[in-house]
Amino acid sequence: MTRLRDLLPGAALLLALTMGMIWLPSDTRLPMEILLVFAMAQAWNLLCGYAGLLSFGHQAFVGLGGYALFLTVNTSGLPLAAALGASVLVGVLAAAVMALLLRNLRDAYFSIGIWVLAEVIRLSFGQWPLVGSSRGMMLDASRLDLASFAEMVFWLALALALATQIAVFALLRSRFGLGLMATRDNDVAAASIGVDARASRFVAFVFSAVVCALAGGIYYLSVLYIDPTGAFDLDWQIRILFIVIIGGVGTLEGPILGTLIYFALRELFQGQGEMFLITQGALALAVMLIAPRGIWGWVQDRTGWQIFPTRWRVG
Amino acid sequence: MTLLAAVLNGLMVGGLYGLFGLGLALAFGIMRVVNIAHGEFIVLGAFLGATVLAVTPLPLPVVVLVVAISAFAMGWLMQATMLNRLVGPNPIPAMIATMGLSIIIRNALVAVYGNNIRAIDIGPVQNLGIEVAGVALGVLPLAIFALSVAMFLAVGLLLRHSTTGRAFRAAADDFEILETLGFNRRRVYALAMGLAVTLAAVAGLLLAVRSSFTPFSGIERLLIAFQVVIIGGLGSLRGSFLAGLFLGVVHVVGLSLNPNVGPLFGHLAFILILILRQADLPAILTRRGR
Repeated sequence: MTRLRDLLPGAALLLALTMGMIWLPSDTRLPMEILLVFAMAQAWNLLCGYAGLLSFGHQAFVGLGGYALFLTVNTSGLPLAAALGASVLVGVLAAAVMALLLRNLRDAYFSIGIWVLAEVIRLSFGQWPLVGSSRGMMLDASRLDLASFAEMVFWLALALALATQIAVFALLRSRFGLGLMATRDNDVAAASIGVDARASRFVAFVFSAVVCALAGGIYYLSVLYIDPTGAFDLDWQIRILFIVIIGGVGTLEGPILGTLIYFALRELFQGQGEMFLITQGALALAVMLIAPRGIWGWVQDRTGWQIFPTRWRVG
Repeated sequence: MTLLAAVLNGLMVGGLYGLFGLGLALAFGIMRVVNIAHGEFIVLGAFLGATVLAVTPLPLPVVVLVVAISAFAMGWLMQATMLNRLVGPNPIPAMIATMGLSIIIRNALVAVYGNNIRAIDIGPVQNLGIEVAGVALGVLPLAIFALSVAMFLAVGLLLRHSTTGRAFRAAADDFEILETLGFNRRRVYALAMGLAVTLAAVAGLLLAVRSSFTPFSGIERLLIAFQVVIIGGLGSLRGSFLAGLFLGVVHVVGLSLNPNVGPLFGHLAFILILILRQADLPAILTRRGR
């Protein structure tokens, strides 16, 4: 039974954050980036924190989503909605092929196996003349309405972020989510009561890939230019990892908190790229040693607070 | 470069790739820790060696020794102060911690040395060559290959015939029994990580003597090490060595065909092996034979 009191705090938080993003005193670029990075982080959190698959290769989906959109717009002249559809399609296909290649690799083998695949994709795009090889390509903006362009990209990003948060919340409260968490906590026991771990892991993997592909599509749409070094940059993955780990892996609130911390730090460290990255690495390391469930996990262990409750309560 | 020369050069680089993989496999086999910073230690060995060579008059063999000792200390410290707290059935915390460490080392190297491509100049030895069966081979690459073979043999001897080595192998199988025999598990782990990082840094320095490197080379080196482990199998010295040789040949031959693709051919060979393994070759071959 879904009860209002389970949904209310989360809805209130999302509303407040949405308002904050809309009225953030800056142009729409920063809030757009915040929303997209958050969506990627939350999707990756579903994969790592709930399905138990640690991926070091999600930058592949970001880049593929961007390239899918650019190729569709530049070569077919289809409307933008279709180009975003192409990002989704490429995300699903890439995830399915990767899942097939990596299906026998567990744990660490999966983590680094997908990293190798991401490198293969990056190096291949650097050799592909149709997408401008390593020089990259420009988006054909002749059919875009440039007056409302920045606004539109912002609303797309907001929609993706909200949809991701709500979808992950709904997924985890469903039968599927219960199975996923049961497998994570005790795979033998979960299998013995009929939970298909392989299938639920696959769903989580494809979901995370599609969100990252869409976010990549929207991000590079706003930039109007894409190249393999940037689009398949490991920094996308480091950003996602940092946000989820700091905020709290395996909690729905963690990535929200992590995203806020990440962008606050970035403003603080403006112009000092290496120091910013060193700080991220050091904080991730410190969290693992001191509070492996991140800041929100630490709070939750002591207070039992859940803004997005995934547990069912009796009574 | 003729194909034969490329293959021979690949074999000689491959000995070092095998050592990359051996270090990663030791850490993973013994304490179930996948050290994501392995590639950064490989590059750190190169930068450390280059710096010592530049500021002191020490000859290369002594510098290798200096790098080996510092690398052992770093690996020992990393395991004793951090990773020993994270070992357990779940491999994810240690992987994230070492990922954090790799980001720190990589960007610290950029901050200190800048992100230019570097090479180590050790004087006229670099250009000495001999001709074997009509193929010109460098004396330095040959010496490096001999050294990597020697390191493989030394690790084999250590694992088979020393108390520490036996403790390593016992820890890989069952650390609880090891503890009942009076060994301190955490000390065994720290020694093993010291050895793993030493292998990484020394092989990294030796590779740097014969090719260029940047602070970002660690990622590529980590992926090579990992591919060596998967292709060669965990817990097999011979497997690591042969897988290293195979990847070395693929890389050098690939680069002689297309110098712009970096490690792409090595990655593709790795994926091909993954596919072939899944295809269950024995079953297909027997079906065809029937």
